[in-house]
Amino acid sequence: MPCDTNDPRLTAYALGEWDEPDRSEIEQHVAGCAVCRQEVERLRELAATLSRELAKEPLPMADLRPVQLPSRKPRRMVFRGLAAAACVLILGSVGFVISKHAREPDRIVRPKTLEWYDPEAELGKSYAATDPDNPWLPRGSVVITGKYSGNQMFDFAEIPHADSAPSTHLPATPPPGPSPEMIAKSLRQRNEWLQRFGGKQQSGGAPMARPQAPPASPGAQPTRVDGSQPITINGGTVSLPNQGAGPAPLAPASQPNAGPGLAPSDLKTETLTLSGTGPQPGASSPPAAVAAGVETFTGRVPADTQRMGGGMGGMGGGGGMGGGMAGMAPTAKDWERLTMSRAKLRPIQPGAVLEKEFNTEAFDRVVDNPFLDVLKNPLSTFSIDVDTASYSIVRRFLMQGNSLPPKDTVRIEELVNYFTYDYAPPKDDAPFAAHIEAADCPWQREHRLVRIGLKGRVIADDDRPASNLVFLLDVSGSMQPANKVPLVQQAMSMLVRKLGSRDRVAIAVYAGASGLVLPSTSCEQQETILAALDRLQAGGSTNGGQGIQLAYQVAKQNFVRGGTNRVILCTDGDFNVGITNRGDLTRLIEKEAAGGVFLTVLGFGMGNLKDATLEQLADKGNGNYGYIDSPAEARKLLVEQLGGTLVTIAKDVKIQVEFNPAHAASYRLIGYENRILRKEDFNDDKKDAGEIGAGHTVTALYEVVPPGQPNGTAAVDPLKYQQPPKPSKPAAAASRELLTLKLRYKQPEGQTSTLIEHPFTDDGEKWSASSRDFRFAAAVAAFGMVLRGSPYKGHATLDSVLEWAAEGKGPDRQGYRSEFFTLLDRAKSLLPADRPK
Amino acid sequence: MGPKSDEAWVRALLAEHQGRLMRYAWRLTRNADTAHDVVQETFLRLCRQRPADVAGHELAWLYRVCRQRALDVCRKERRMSVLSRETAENRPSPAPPPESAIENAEGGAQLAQLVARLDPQQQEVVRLKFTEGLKYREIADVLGLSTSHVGVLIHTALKQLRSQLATDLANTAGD
Repeated sequence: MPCDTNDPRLTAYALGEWDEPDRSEIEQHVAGCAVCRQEVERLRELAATLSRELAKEPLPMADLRPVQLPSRKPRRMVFRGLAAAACVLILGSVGFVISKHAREPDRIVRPKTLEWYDPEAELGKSYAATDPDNPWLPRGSVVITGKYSGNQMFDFAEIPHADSAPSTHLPATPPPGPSPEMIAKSLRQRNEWLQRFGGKQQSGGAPMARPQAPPASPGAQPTRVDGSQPITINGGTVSLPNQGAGPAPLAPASQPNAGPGLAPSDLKTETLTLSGTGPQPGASSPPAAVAAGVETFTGRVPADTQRMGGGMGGMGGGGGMGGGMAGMAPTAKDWERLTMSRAKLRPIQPGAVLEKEFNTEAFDRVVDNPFLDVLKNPLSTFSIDVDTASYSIVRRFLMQGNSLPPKDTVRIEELVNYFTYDYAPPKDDAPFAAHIEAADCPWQREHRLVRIGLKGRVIADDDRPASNLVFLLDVSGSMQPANKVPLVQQAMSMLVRKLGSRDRVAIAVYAGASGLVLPSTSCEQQETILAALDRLQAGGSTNGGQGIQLAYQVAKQNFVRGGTNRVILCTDGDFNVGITNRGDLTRLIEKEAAGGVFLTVLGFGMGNLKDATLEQLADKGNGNYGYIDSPAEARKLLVEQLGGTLVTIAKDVKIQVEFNPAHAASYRLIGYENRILRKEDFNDDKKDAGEIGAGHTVTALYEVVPPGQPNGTAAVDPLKYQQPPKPSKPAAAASRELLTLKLRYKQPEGQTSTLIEHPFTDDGEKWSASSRDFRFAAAVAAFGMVLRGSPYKGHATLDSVLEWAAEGKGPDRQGYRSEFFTLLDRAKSLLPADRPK
Repeated sequence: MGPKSDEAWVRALLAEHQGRLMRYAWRLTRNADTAHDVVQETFLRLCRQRPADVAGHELAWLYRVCRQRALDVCRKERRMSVLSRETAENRPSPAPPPESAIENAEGGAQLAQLVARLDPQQQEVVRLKFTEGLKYREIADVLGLSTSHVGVLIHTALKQLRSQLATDLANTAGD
């Protein structure tokens, strides 16, 4: 071989990559060539250093818990190296879904149509899943009924065990779970095991479990043995296997309603990532078996001690469900920053690799609306937004994360709309009433602040139309922390208790596979619904897409004409398996919304990463998006504002404001940055916009610069070919009107919009004469601007916000406004350099 | 091959490779929950494989599926998320890096910085080789490249690292 040190083969040789016989050839050459020998040595040295240095990169060991496969002997699954961090998490914890043919209680009904079956797969293979010593596991043997397909993780079907009693109706009460003896035995086993491996919590806090604790001694710890309830062991929860009662299976419908984007070919992306041995669903049509029928499978096999570690996020430690939980995933993130700042070591950036393949990503950044010149932009058009999630997210950052919220989480309109204002409801048949008020702008006294308030018709709970709700709950592994699934259970239970006998609820879950935990059930059987909620456990990975299909299918099967038909999605947004294409998902959601099934999205315990997705899903589904970080927030959204959350009274509500240049030089819409429409969209009924629910209030604020003031707009060179437009019309000058508010809306089931117009004349009201609600809304908006570091915040500081909010607080019967002051305090402690611009 | 042995086979691979895959997935996703889901998904997929189809290249198979899952997730999250970058950059670091860490970083970790400057594909190959300890053939399998392509990538990466290291050292000496 030529003596060229710049030869990849030499490098390969140095790295030990050559096998005989080529190896000896190179070896011989190197032995006789000093230059190559030196090169090989240098390469080896570099390689050794490289391996050593790259290995130094620390890992968040505490956060890397082991994965769990279906297991009858979970203790085998301790994986080396992470045993200490992990051992506690494993026992009895099996985050997967198995299928049961038996009509056993507690099963999930899953139409086969959601899967791609490979008829030649491992059909008939059977895995023993029976472990007589382990009551945590279901009895019966497990047979693989389908091969892996792109969209699903695991598909074991359980063959009915000889003594599993079939039940074909809804039992009134759950059958008994495992006997106390079994539980005691199982706990003993578990504790022995804990002892053996010495469970040690990694991130501080109390020990996860004390192995020595006497198991199942009734006096020492609360142990509820009713077959479906968690048993508490020294603060951790272990749940029993799903052996409680369950409903009868739901008859299958036809094909699940695959939206255009959910066609088989779209599954390709998933499947192609597999080795060539996997099935290729993308290329085929659904096999015949697919349409065959319904298969039932259990929710989850049991128990996860993971909960014990749920609170070890290390931040805050605030009380209650949401306190200091891992939702913000602080450990890993903080750690990452630490590493990065420490060694300036940048990780491989998957995105960098991906940029070649996908260039569609966009950060949903929020850029403050600028001032616009009235002459050039007399019309301001936007869609209403009743979402309030941003407020909860901001609160979470401030109160639990003890840090200022990142700028883009602060969506001012959502902060303002979090609070209800005392606008009068409509007197006529209109679905909502509009109210306009103007006064001095508190952060820029020469400017005017104009508040537009809409109030939806109020519908008493009793007058609410019957509702058909499908809860679609994410039970994937990332939902395990206490501020997620347990909070979902709590929140949904609150809602169920508010529903009446005319309402129906179904519960679908999604994780690795999706399934129906509870077919649509009348709320007369509230206990059945609550019991089903109670049994939910998190585990597995997420396939949001399939779950949504299933939920819509169930919703359509139980469609209530003239009623509320709604899917309520509860998730942290971690759609990490399944339909990868967000466009497909949104198309499905839009299509279903057009068919009358709307979507409400409730975000839980997330580090707000997927906030934009969730918001978008809700928007497309004619729904709303809320973020639930505490039981109190669940109460606000689901109990107190039930009507608004469930009943849409008008959809595609758009606002267009025409300013009169005689009284306004420029204006700025505060917030609603991602709701801006083109002026042409206002009259275009095909353009989707926000919905308003019963009793909802929507508030929008404009900062208006009167003529004669510096108008704050960017200078543009004078036009060469046209005269700039002038407010030459006598009408403009003669009119005292500052603006005309135009509203368009559709009835919830309507296709054509109705127009309402409200001219408004500004009487020059002073701040001191403005209403309390006006001041409070202004204070909240200013708070948002300060948090965002908005260039338009003027003289606003947290201190002035406090002052304005105090002036506007009013009676505050529900206490939400009081809470705002707590946030203000916290923000003040975190934002030392808060000075007026 | 009987089902029992399939199960045993999966479990053996799980026991043997879970740790490294978890770390690998974490490096790609920088999120413990996501890494967990990705690795779980990988092994659940493995359950679907006939051992015979994967035999001989189990490690590469696991890495390939794991990587693909991780990238899927990252791609989705990047598209979906508003904040990941902002959040990471804007929120204050919880604690200043200890002195010793900085000192450590001076010497060899310079190399790690240089790796981070390589082009993404080279970085990935280098990491699969030197962090994950895969063979060329396995890397080729994971990334869908030819073995010789991997060889060239590693070769050029090492050359580049070496020359940059030399330049940096010269600069430091010149200061």
